[in-house]
Amino acid sequence: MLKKIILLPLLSLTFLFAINEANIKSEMEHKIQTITEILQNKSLTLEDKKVQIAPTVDTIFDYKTMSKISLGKRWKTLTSSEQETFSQKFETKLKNSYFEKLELYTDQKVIVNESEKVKATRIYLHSDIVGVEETYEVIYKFYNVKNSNDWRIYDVEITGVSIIQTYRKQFAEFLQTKSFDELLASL
Amino acid sequence: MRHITLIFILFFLINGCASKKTTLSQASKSNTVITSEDDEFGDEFGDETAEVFDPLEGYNRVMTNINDKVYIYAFNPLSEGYAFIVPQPARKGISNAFHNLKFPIRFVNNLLQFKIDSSIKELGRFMINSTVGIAGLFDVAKAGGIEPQEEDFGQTLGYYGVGSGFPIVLPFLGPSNLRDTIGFAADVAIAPTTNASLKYQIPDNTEKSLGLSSAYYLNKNSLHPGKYENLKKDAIDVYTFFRDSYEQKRLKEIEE
Repeated sequence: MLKKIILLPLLSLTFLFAINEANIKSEMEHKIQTITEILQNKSLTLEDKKVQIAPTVDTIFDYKTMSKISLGKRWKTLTSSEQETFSQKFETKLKNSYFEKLELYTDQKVIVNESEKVKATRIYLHSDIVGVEETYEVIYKFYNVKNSNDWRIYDVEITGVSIIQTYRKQFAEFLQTKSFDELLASL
Repeated sequence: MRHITLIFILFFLINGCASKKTTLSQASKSNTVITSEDDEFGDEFGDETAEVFDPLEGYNRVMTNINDKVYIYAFNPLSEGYAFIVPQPARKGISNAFHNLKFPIRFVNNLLQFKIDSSIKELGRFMINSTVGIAGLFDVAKAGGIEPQEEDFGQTLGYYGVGSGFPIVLPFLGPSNLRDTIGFAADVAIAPTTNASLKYQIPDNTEKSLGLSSAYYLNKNSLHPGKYENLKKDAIDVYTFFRDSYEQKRLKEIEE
């Protein structure tokens, strides 16, 4: 009985963070709105903005999976602690990179379009950033976490360029001539 | 910064050489199954260790470096100065006018790909923007819901199955490949801003043509401040980063 009382609120907490298939579009619209407001708040410093945006982004970006995909075959050859170190560094790099891109397009309008179910376990959420000269398509790719209703982002594609694919190829090329430790140092 | 191309015999020859190593487009899109049971993303992202056929790599790396210095020490500061003097609405107008002028390129290439609907849209855009939009200064058609249908000869070649060949980094213009460089040359040949023999072409000598091109690129760059540096930050190896990003982008553009 006691276990159930404790488990119930904990379970509801996880549902707070989980995005269901039906919610993807509305959740993303909400998140983008929140992020845009933070970015356009002139009274905050850059660091403040980064800190404030982080929670919104962390709940749906699956950094661990992104780390795994970006290292490809190499991932399995690493020890647990190497994987952990890499994930943390990669997460920081991704967050900084994403934040810098957001910053560049702060004043531009973001339009969330349709969510497209490409496979049973994959949904692409299409959005547009209306830039000065042209409109950029940004696709957030969600996958269904096994044995749950949770959907998380594993890749972002900006004007046809997949961020994770780009890192995947770069890491592979880097590791052909250099060591894993050197890769960690460069992140 | 956006940059944007003998032919079939050359293509077949190149693809013959490329048979041992995969071309960039194949590497990006390959459905090679990675042999691990829990790697559910392997199919989607393909074989990351596939080698890219890059015979000009040495030259490409040097040119990437040169371009980088030119952008950072010359072109970007110049664009910033220009942006400081010329207000953004004016620069937007200039951008619109240049974009409008490139109508023949978009129109012809949409037709060549049998995108009739898009060709008609482009024609409509050109007519509206050239008249109501005052020589293209205002993109009235876009406000009316008619979006540009971006096509070029590189994409047309891609549509007909011509592979990218191999990467070539063009001076100043940045990453490209064999097919797109040929495509670019074809586009330039029919562009109104080129000095050639077609009746609608504006400049009457090469200097004026170069002047127009310079103005176009300067104006364009001024509308995208900080973009190049921002993009570069994601790179661990600047050359391969730009090369692969470029190929991904082109693949997507050809598919559409």
